[in-house]
Amino acid sequence: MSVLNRSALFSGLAALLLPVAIGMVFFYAPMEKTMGSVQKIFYFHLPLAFSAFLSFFVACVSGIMYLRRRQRVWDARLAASVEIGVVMTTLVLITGSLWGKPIWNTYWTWDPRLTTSLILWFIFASCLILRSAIDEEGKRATFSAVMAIVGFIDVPIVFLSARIWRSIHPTVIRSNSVGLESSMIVTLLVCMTAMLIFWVGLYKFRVSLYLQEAKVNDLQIDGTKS
Amino acid sequence: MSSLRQIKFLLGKDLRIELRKKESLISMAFFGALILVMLNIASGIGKQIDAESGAGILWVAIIFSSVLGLGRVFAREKENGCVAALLLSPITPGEIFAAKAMVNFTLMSLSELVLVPVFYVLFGAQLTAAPLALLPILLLVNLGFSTTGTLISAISAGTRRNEVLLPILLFPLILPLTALAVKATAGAMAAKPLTELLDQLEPMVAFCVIFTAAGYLLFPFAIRED
Amino acid sequence: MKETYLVIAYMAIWIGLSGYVVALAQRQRKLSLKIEVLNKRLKVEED
Repeated sequence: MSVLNRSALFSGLAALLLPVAIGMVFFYAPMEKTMGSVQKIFYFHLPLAFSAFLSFFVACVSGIMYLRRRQRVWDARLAASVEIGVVMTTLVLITGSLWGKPIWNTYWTWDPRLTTSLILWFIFASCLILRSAIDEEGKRATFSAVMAIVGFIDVPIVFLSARIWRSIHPTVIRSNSVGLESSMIVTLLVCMTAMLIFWVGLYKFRVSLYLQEAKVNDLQIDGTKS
Repeated sequence: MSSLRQIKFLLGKDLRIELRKKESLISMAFFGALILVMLNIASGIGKQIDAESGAGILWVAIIFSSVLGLGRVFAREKENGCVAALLLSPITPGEIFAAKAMVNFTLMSLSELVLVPVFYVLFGAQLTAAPLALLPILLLVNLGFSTTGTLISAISAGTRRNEVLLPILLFPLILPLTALAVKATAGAMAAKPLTELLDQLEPMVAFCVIFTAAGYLLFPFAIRED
Repeated sequence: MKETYLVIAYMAIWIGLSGYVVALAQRQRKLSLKIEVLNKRLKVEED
């Protein structure tokens, strides 16, 4: 019960903070000079990317913990974080392309960060497909734990190789170290906090939903046996 | 010492089966050659291909055909319930992993003995370097592909949709390796000396080391049938 | 012109996230219905 309440607390906080964050983006943060209004995508693009990466990190840790402890909770945490991570990475890729089109004049470029997020998306989406293909609970948990760990190990290699690999193509992006104004940083921090709280609420909700479903499933199996 | 003997024993067993039935190797080489022919037609008959696109074409053919052999290695054991027998025998999962990875390595190398010459016949008019210059790149990819592939094929063989899941799970993981290999191959085909390719070869070695270690550590979980 | 990209991006973010939340809520609702049905069946069996 307390888990549900805490999840409700985080969701409520997120519901309060997210509108504030949006308001700050449009009314408080100043207009960026060169990029104009498109730059406002950034305030949610970065928090989304950060929470997506956090999800995959949590998935990897849960995978390791599941393989060591073999408890259902860790499988629930893994399933929840992989699913949320895939949803958020999808949004990161969409917003990133929409930002790139007016600024770099292309929807897609093989920049290391873009490449890494795309490949991460592929790896963890395939992990979801794997989960949907297995019915036995223990097997599903073990296999997806292995995939989550291997997928996360792949991240630094992907990033490194994308940096080497791209040098064959002219890159559109210089690592843009745009100095942010202090009001921009404040807005970004508020957006980041709001998104992280939202992430926690969503994560707790997803985990509890998964555990409830698994429990009901157990009951039904017991019922058919007796 | 005895563990080496057991690996050799398993390897010998699998290679003997392959030698008698020839089911994997022939289909791998045949399918790879078929892809090469199709890509040759698709790239426009009578057109010359430069080193970079040539490298991409070669690797598409090799990777796609190798998945065929990879899927068979474990499916064969699963079909007859041999995995349980293997696990009961005094062979550790690590040794099974080493043996299976070596089988895959051998099969890939043998099929490349066919594919690379076919590639040179179809596309080689513009390429200055001899096929031998590709040897270190081929061996590195074979190593990385077969260790990663052994781990993933153990997972996919445990599900009901082996043939579909194997490439879906494997390709995103080995994408950095493939990308580096394509670049290195393009360099080698343009007759660059090996020292200039070190930029790509070093991360490829790192990939092989990391995924061999990860495969060795995670394989026991992937192969257990619970 | 540039504003269209901004609008589409924000729509994508919020439609995406709220769509996901709604999908989860739907699943939760279905689950509680299922629990209720199971509970009723249990009571019938007890009687």
